[in-house]
Amino acid sequence: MTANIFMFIGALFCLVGCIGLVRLDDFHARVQSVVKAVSMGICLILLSVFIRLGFTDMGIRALLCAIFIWLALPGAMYALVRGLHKSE
Amino acid sequence: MITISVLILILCCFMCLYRIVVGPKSQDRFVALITLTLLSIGFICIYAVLYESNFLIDVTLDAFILVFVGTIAVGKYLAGKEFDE
Repeated sequence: MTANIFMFIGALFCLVGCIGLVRLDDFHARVQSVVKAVSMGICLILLSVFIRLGFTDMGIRALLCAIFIWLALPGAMYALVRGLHKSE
Repeated sequence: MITISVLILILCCFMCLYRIVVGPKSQDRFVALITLTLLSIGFICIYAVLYESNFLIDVTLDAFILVFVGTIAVGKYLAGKEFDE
């Protein structure tokens, strides 16, 4: 039950990020909306898989993927926006 | 509640498709494409929970590594540098 609630909250975070992707009117605003909300939502969905499976090998892999997304996606998006800013 | 989560993620995919179609520049389309890949990672997780095929969790890590390397490569390309500088 706790895993289902985590999955639902993660899907709601993804919905908020995609509404920001459609409605906002600047490229930088769209990027910060997507990076914050969607990475949080996907991490919550992966944590729901970890809660459901426990400390088995696949559960630990889901936790590892959640930590990796949470750390690496803002850095990758920062590299993208920095390259775009240097090209202008 | 899993069904409602899948429906919300499908709605998110249609929003990303809207931004891919009418995006003013190419970088908007690229960000929408990255978001679509992340949503597919969420779909793979929910599919692995529904059908109890746990080996699909490996696919999420591989897909995210591809997204990470691709984003950094496009960033370096837009900055106008070579890859070893």
